[in-house]
Amino acid sequence: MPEGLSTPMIIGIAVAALLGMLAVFVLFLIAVYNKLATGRNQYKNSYAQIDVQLKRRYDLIPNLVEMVKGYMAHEKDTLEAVISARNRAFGANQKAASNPGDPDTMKELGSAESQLGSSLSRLLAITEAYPDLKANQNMMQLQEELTSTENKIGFARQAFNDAVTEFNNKRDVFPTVALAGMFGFTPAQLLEIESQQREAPKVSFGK
Amino acid sequence: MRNFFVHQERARQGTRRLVLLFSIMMILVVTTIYSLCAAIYGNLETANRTDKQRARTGVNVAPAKPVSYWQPELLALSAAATGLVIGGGSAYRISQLAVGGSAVAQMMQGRLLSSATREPPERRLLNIVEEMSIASGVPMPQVYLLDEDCINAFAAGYAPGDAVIGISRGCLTYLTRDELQGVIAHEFSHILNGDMKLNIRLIGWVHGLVFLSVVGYYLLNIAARSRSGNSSNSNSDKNGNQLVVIALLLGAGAWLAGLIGSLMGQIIQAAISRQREFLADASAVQFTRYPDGIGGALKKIGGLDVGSTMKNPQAREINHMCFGESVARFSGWLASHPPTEERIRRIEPNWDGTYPPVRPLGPVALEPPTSANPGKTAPSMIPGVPSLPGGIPLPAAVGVMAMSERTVERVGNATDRTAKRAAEIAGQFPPGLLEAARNSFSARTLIYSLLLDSDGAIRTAQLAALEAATTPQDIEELRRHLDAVAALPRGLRLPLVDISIPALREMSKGQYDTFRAVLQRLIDADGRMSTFEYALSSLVGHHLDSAYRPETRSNGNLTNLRASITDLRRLLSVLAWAGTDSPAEAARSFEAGMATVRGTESGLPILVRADATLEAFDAAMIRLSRGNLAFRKQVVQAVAATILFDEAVTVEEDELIRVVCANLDCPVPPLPSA
Repeated sequence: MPEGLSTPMIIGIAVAALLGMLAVFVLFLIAVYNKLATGRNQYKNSYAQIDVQLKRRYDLIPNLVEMVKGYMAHEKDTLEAVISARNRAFGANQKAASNPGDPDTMKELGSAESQLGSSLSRLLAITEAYPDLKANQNMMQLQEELTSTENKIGFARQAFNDAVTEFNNKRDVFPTVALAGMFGFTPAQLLEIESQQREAPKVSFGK
Repeated sequence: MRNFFVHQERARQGTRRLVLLFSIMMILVVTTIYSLCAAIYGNLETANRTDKQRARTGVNVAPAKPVSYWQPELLALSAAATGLVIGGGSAYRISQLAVGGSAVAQMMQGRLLSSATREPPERRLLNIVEEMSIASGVPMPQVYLLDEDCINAFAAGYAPGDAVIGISRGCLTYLTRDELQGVIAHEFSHILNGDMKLNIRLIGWVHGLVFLSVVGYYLLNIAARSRSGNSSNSNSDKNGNQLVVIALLLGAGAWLAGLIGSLMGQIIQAAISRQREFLADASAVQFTRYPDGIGGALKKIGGLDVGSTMKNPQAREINHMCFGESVARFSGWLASHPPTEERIRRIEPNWDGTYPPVRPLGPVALEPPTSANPGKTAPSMIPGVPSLPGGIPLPAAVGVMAMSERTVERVGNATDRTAKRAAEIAGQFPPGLLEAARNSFSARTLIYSLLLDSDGAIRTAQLAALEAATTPQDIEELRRHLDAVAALPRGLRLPLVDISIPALREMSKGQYDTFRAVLQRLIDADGRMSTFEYALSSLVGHHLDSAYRPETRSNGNLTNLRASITDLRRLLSVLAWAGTDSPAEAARSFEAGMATVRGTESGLPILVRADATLEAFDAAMIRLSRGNLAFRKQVVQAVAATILFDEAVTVEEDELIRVVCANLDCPVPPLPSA
């Protein structure tokens, strides 16, 4: 190049550099946003699996109560406790499904489900004292479905919590954390439910 | 199925055309921007020199030396800047979509349907997708629901293992079961034909150009706003004004260049996809044997006001992947789909041109399984077609035969894949097993129980391994399905795995890693790997790795099959030995396979049985899967020739060919009845 940079050349370089940096910065912002959005979608989709199984459980419980009522009408308190816990959990799930990962809905659902779990446990413990009921085919089938559904809920909950943890980890990294607030990505809350220690039947594969 | 490679060939030509057009466009865009820069520079430099001359001589004349148009440094600079912007935009979009089909679905704000859903319209949709999966041999994709009132659908992903299908809500509202089936069949044929990888690349590259126009637009805005009314003559202000003017011009230039570029991008989309849409329609009819299905859906699109037009602004980017045109257009030239009328006429030549009124359908009642006798094995075979002992359906054979050019004439019209047949197969599964395959928790235990050996001692060892590696809840669930799985005919086991894939994709990465580890322990429990164990592990691993470990996806680079002849030898040797115990027979089958690859007549003999191990098979197959399209086509044809030479397909051969086709991403459909 001839003696020194001419003014237009400097201007040209400056503009090009500016354009370049602007582009890179904008891309960076978009990349961060999309990484967080993908993570959030992941845990929202994971919640859908919990939702399906919870709804199944809420459908089964009234059937259980109907069946049991015939045998133990005097245990009204226990039965009512189960029904009201079920209704509370049903409502909590509806709120949670529209806003998974939100701290309030997750805590409410967790507490409602824990309560439902414990009242169900109590009910099933009582049925142990009624051999006729225990031997009833429909009852056994229903119990099995219930157990299976609870297992599915547990597994789906684990996947959901994994996704939430992954999102929170992505979010808490610098510099993402600085932008996350600006973009409106709040930390997600795990779903914690107290598990009821039910006796897992002894498995024998004797064949 | 014969069309599969034809379609892939077209897709490859499409890619070449795409690359060519795109390169031309890039050159045009860079030239435009450079010319603009050169013009600006030229003006400024001329003014500069005039000023200098005036300062020196006091005379206001034009400079003696005109500014040349050719400024190499400026060219390099402007090319680099433009390239950075376009390349950055493209790379960004491509990496965003690299996750797989689910990224596209999320871009369109789709809602993932849980595979265990009980909502009747959703359940019906998933049942249809399940049946299509069996019919086509493609592992069942995840299904997303789009919040759109129009009638439209798309398929996206890099490989069948991470494929997703998106369906608009309007489809569920307006289409009958048969019409839905037609639409799904159309989308499955896109997955089958391997259009998906090309589609995603297309989105990425065009996005780079759009990004350029966006950047230009913002530059223009900023410059226009900061243009103060300053017209003083002081030097710094003058430079400031110059800067603003430059920014203004460059912004406008970039904006326009980007716009033109993205227009060209849409033309490219159109050029590639219009042809494919006719083919996909034809494939769908072939799948379902019911032209009224897809024809009905097209007519409803024509009859509906909103048609197939989506509200989501991103619909433009995925237009070429959709069932119908997703963006309202004035000009048919840019359309990536043929006109609806033409599509209908190709299917129904006698159509009278009227669109029946489109009304929302009432509540959905789920149909019971179509087979009257669940659990019964398949009816008689097609005459002249190889069969398994016991008359069990042969998922692999007919698809293979259709692919092998030698035998395609023999099979002829009898090999129509029927969705009805797939529904029959689906009806043969005990309903409890299907339900178990539809959520991640029980689908896992289903896979575990499929691996349990019938031999008592091995089974005990495996169960002990399970009890150590899993939870009591897992064992509980396993026990529920143990008997049904044990009673399942062997020919239905791998299809059951295919149906379980979307449920298995619902696991978290940690759960997936645990799952694979347990599978391995089950297989290792007896110290040897049976063909079925290998097939199951390979299928599950390949399809799910595509979704969970996208970094393991391979690129098709190898082109010369003759260079990989030792791998082909291993592959064909194992297959030949899987079909017979007689060394002479095995050698003949092997030779038949080798003969399909030109230039191997004087080649290697079959491996001795001791060397024809599954490990060798697996290693060879993985290496061969890194071939490009033509390469893989030759491999599959050689495999088909080897298996079909002796006209009887054993269970092991069937399982191995499923493995080969899955790993080479060439799906295999089941055998239809006579």
